[in-house]
Amino acid sequence: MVYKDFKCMLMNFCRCGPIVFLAMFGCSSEAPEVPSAPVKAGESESNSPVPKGASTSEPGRNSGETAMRPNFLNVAAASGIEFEYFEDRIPGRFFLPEVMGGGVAWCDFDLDGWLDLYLMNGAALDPANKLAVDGQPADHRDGLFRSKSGKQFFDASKLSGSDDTGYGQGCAAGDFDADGFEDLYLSNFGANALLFNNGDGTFSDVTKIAKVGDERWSSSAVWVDLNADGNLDLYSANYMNVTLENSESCRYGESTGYCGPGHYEGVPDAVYISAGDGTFRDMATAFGFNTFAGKGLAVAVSDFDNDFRPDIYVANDMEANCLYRRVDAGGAEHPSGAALYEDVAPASGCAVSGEGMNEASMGIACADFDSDGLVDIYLTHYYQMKNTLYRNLGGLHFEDDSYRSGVAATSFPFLGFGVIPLDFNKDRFPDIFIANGHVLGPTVDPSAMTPQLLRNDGRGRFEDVSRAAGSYFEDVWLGRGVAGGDFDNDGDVDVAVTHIDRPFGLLRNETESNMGFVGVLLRSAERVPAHCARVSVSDGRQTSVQVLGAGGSYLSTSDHRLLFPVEATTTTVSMIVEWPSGRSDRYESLVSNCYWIIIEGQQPQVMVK
Amino acid sequence: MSESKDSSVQAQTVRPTRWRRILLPVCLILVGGGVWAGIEIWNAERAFNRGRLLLRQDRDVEAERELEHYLRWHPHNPKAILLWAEAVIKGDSRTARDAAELAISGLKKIPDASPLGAEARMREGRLAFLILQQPGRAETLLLRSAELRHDLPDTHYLLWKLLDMTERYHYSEAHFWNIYELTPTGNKAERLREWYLSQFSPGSANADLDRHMGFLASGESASEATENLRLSQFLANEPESSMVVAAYARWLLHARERDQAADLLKNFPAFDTALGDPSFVSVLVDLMIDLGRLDEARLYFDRWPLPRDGFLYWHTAGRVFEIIERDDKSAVDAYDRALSVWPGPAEWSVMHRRAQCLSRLGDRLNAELGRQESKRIELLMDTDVHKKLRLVLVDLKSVDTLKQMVSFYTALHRSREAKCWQSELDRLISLPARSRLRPLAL
Repeated sequence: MVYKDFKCMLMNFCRCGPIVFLAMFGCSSEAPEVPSAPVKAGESESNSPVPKGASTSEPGRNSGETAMRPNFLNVAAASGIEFEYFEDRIPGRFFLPEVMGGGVAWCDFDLDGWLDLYLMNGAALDPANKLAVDGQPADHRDGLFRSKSGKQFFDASKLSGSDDTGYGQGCAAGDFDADGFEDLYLSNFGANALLFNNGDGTFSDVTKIAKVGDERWSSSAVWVDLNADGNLDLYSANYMNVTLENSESCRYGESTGYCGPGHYEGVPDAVYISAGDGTFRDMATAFGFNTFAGKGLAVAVSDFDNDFRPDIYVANDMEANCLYRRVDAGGAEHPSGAALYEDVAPASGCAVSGEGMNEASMGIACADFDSDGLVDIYLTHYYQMKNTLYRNLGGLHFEDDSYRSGVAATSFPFLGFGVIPLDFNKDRFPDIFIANGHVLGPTVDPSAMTPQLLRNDGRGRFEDVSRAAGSYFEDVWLGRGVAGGDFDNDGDVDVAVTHIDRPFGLLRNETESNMGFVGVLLRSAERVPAHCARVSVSDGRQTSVQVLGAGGSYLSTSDHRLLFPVEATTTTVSMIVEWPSGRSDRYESLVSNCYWIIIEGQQPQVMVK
Repeated sequence: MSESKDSSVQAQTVRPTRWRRILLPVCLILVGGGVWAGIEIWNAERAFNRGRLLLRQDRDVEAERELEHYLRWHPHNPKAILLWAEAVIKGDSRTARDAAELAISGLKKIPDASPLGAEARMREGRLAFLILQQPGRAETLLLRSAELRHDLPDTHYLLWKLLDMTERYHYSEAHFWNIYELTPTGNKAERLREWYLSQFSPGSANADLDRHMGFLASGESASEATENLRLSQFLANEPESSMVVAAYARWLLHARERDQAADLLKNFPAFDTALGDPSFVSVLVDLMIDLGRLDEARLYFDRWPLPRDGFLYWHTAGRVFEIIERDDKSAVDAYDRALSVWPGPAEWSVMHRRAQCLSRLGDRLNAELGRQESKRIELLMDTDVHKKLRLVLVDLKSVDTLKQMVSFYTALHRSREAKCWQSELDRLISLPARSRLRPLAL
């Protein structure tokens, strides 16, 4: 079926939003709760218990919770996921893509209320060498694992037609046609692919129609409405111009290994702007992106200046990072003809380290780590170099706070890739999970590394609590992609981790907690994710504030839902949503311990209870 | 009666004979001794000259013997001691270390007050540094030499190299200019080249010394391993020197071996005393900041010994104010002071930090200007830029080389170096074309 037919069908059938599909799939056995009516913007602002951008959570409180022992259990195999990334490493070849690994995406593809998993896979890197060792044609495909009530996963890759055979890198899940079903953009070493979710459990490759088949080496990507036209656009970070022909090996003391980014040219990123009809156009330069050909490995969307407009942070490998903010007077329609975005990273202090050094910048985690109402940035870097915490000082000013926060001290022995913020102990402060592992190959020591779990004290100071976090953290891995998601809908964030040389890991968060939760999935009136919406949840004791971002980590997509810990004794909470449109809604008496879906201008509905 | 007369006569004749028997040998001995002494002295006097001559002829063992001969009669003659020490070192009858220790023990006999006291301390320092590989001991001697006499080029040269080779290149500027001023006009270009290499390519600048000291095999290029070997050897030779410990810890910090650096510093037996050494305190503070132990860093910084000045102090102070105290204003002041002294003008990272502080203070315009300047200097410090400069510096008789050096230092706002290179350029241009043909090897 061609894309147009799908579109037509979807426009008639699916535009009614995800609620219909929730009902169709029967994800919630109970009738949706109907909370009190939303309050208009003016009212809510005047009555809002929380000033814009502020959190009333008190750092250091809940000492009982913070002291709780973290506990994660790798349940990948037990849950039916047996998947190992095929990197096609050939000893002595030292071809860089071999060590970059693949990503993972959490997404409820079938709208049954349970997060499914998409796992990127490698392929034969040399077209002349497509045969496996046993002489059989190599068959390495991406994997789609559908969740059955958050307990078991089954491999739906072939059945769904989502088993792309490119050399997989990153995966961005996003509903670009706003039909309620998440589509997939696959970044490859080679041509990228866009898989359209047909809504019936299958996917169609619409890359050519959509014109998004970038053939350069792409890494991470993220879906975001860049020009506020109600359509999701796509920021696709590109890495370097590395081919089998120009690939080199490098000496590291007595050993030979992979050459780093200094040996190759960077490649400009692609920014696909949606025309709203399922086609896209790369308008990176016209929109003010690509101020230089960086070596992008990760891209995150958040609202760093509390203007409710998306800011794009791009992590470049040993190049200055970029922070693109939307300018007031710009865009194609604007008389000035100025670009819509400008790179403010150098002036903002988040392009390079405090010392002015370019850093390796593999993964990004954005969250308000110090509870000051501003989204901060955590970056993973190279072995023996510090990871970086850019503390947001407001007004798009950042400072490298890595030393004061303990981030530097906890990161020196590691080479970090995927990284996510997660409040593993539900103390209302975002902690950090990092997948570590070296890139120089097995002959250079150290190679595999232990992952890390950093506990946040609420003031943005971190302590490494990995040793107490379970056996997975005692083992060494070549960790790469990381995505956080509550796959069992129990109100805490679980972690999906991809590895090189070892099977995929699914870490179920089993940390004991005496807290409840409220989760929320936000959609704008146009049914696209309401990125940069600000959500305040109050349980009567404390108010927590979060901003809806997207992307981040490394090559991966985390759960789109926001998750708020609330007092276990609280049965209902109040929620204020400040929408990017300027509207502000207050919802009272939202039942706790369930996930809600809120579409701008509509009543909240229970998604999963 | 006649018998008694006879006996008295006999006695009279016997007494002189007995005396003669005693006196004669004494006289003979005295005369002989005198003659021997005379000859000996005459020989010794000649031995000095012979020793000097033999030394020139590289007959070092014989020279040493002759000079020893001389020193028996003139044990405090400083010139002879210097020559003897030279003979001891050049001779092959002992191991280099034994020879050095012996020579130093002799040189010690030349007091500071002697006109050759400065020379003696310099030579002791040279032996302690180059042969005994004890830079701590050498530094003390060399500094004493410089104190006694300011115009000894070798003293300043050795101090410059010693500072370079113990991770303290930022202290060497004064020594360089001292030498430069003492360098004959015809050799000034080479000296300038050496200064450039010392600051921007210390690996190549010190390669010859590293080879000489056995840290680098001939034909091999200097690497991090060379520095590691050198500094660990220094440490093995002088485990009690806070300066040496600090140098190795600094190198470990550069090599990002923070745990090892911490072990080294914290387990230093004379830790409290070492806090009187700025290089020790500096590396300790940097390490504590890296490890997030900010309270300790602040504590050690407060112990910084007097005088609290120079690049190292102000750079460290800036970091303490910025990172620990969150006092951006004081940090800017400290960074300004650090940037005003060498190697401040090349420290783009400090410029960047300063710009960040200004930005936080709300001075956006100057912050932006600072960032731009930092970026400009960063590009000037690019490996490729210096690779090219190193290549052209092979030929100091090329107008193009000298022009490039002038523009490099001008871009770095180092007017003194730029002026010196310009003088070389002017001198070269004024020379007849034929005398410019021969390129000098590095």
